[in-house]
Amino acid sequence: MLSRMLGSQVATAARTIGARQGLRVTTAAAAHGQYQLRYISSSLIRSNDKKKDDKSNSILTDDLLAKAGVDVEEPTKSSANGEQESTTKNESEESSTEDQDGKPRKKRTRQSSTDVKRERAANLFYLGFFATAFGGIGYLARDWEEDEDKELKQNIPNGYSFDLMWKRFNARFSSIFTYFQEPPFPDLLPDSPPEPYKRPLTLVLTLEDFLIHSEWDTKNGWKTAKRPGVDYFLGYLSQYYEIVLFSSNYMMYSEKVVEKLDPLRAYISYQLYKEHCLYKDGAHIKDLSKLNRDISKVLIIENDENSIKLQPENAIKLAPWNGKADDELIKLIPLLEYLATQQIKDVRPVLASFKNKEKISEEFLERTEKLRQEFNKDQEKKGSTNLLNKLLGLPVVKQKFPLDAIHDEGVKNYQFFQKLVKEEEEKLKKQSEMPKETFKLKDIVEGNLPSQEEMMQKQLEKQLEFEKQQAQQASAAVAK
Amino acid sequence: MSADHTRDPCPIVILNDFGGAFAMGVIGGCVWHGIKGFRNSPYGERRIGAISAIKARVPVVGGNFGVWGGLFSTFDCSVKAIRKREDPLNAIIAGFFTGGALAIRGGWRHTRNSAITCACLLGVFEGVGMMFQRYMAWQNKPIAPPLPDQQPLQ
Repeated sequence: MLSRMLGSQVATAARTIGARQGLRVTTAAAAHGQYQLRYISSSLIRSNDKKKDDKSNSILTDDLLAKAGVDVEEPTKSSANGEQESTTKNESEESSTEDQDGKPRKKRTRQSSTDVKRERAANLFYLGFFATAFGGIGYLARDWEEDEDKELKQNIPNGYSFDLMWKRFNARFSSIFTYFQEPPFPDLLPDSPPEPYKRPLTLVLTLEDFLIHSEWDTKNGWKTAKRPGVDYFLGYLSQYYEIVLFSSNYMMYSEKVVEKLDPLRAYISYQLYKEHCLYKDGAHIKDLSKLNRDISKVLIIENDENSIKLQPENAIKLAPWNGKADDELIKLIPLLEYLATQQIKDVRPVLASFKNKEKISEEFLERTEKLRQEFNKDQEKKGSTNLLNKLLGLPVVKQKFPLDAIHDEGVKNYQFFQKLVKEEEEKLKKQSEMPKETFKLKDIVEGNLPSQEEMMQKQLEKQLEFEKQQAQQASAAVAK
Repeated sequence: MSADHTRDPCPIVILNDFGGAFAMGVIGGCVWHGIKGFRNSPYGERRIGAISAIKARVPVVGGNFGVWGGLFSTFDCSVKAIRKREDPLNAIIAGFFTGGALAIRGGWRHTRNSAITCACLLGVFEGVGMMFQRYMAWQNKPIAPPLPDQQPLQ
C-alpha cells in the first residue's frame, strides 16, 4: 500500500513540475522553489524505482515456481498482497490454509491428483506391509505344531506369555535361515555296501588345488591342470578306500571336472559339492559327521582350514597345490596304504601322532626308513637259519619288509583292476550309443521325475536288453 | 580363485558384464520399441515407424542396461575384494549400492528408496537361486551303485 501511495504522490508532483516549467516562472523565489521541488521529485522517483526493482527482479514469481514443483520459501507478507488475492486457489487442502492475518503460513505444496493417488497407494502399501509383518510375527509365535522339528521345540513350552511367544518366534525365525545353512539332506551318503564290497576306510578328498588346479590368463582364459599322478593315486587307493570327492565348489562347476577325472566312475565312489557343506560363521564346512560313516574310519585331505573346522582331528591338512609339477600325491600313497591295511580302529590318534600335517608324508617316510633298518638288522641276525637252509639245499627265503610286501600286493591288484577297467571301458562305449532317457519340461514342472533309484533300475534293464540284442546280432553274424 | 569358470576373474568381468548387459538391453529394446513404434505409427508407415523408433530409443535402453550391469559388476567385485568371501550377500550389497548410485541425482530420499528396492530385488534373485541349487543337490543325491550280483528288479 505504501508504495502505491508513494507512486501516486510522485506522479502528481511530476505533473505540477511540468506545469510550472511551462509557465517559465523567472523569479528567484520561484526558481528556488522549482529547484527544491525538482530535488524532491527526483529523489522520490529514484526511491520508487528501487521499490519497483525489488518487486520484479525475476519474471519467475514464487507462484510460478511453486506450480512447477519447486519448493520456495513463502514470500513475506509485505510484498505483493494484492496480486496474491488474484491467484487461483489450489485443489489441495494444504494451500487453502494460507491466511492473511499475518500468521506465518505453512509451506505450500501443490499436489496433482496423481500425487494424491500415489500417496494413498503408498500409505496402503505401508499399512499392508506392517499388517503382514505383524501377522507373520504372530504366526511364527503361535503354539508348537505336532509335526515340527523336536530340536526346535526343546526348552520352549507352549503358552501365550510374552516371553514364550518371543522365544518361539525367535526359534522359528532363525530356523528359516538355518534351513539354508545345512546340507540339503541329513545323510550325505547312502549306507556302506555289504561286506565283500566294503572298504575299511573312507577317504574324503578335496578337489580344487589338491587334485587339480585352475589358472586364468588373458591369452587362454581358464585352464585346469591335473596334478601329476592323480590317476594312479585314485586308481591305486580305490582298492583300499571308499573315495569320496568333496569339492569346495558348486556342483554346476565341478561336475564336469569329476567326469573328466574319472569318466567310468571306477575309482571315485561318491562326489559331494559345496551344496553339501554346512554353512556356519561365514565358512563352508565339510561336516564329516553327516557322511553316514563311522567317524573314526573317515579321513579327509584338505587344503582349506575353514572346511575342516569341525573335525580337524580327522584331517590331513596340506598346502594348496600351486600348479607346478610335483610328486606329492605319489608320496602320500605309502601312508594311506599303511593306514588302510593295518586295520586301525581309529584313525584320529594315528594322525595326531604326526607333528606337522603339511609334511606328513615325509615324516611317515622317516619312520618307515627307521623300521626298515631295524628289520634288516633283524634279518641279518636271523641269517643263521638261512645258512641251515643252504646246507640242507633248500631255497633261501629272504623275507621282505612287510610294508613292501603289502605294496607289491597292492600293485598287483592295481594292475588287475586296470585290466578290468579297460574291458569295461569298451562295454561302456557301446552303451553310450544306447538311446538315453529324456524328460519333457512338463515332467519336471509337474514333478513326475522318477527318483534316482528308479532311473538306475530302468537303466540297468535297458542295459540288459541292449546286451541281449548285441548277443543276438553277434550270433546272427556267426550263423551267416 | 574364482569359482565360476564360465566367467573371467574379477577386474575383467566388469567389462564382460557391461557388454553383456548392453547387448541384452539392445536386443530387448529392439523387441520392445519395435512393437511400440509399430503400433504407434499410422497405417502405411508402420515398418518405417518401427525402425525409426528402434533407431531413436534402443541405444538409450542398451546404454541404461549396460550402465546398470557394469556398475553392478564393479560393486560386486569391490564387495568381494573387501569381504573376501563369496556368498549371496555380495550380490545383495552390490545391488544396494548400484540402485543407490544410479538414483543419486534424484535426491536423498530417492537414492535410499531405490537402493533398498534394488537390494530386495537382488535378494529375491539370490534366494531363488539358492533354492534352485538346493533342489538340484537334492535331485542328484548320491545313491549306492548296484552290486554286481544283484539282479535288477523286474
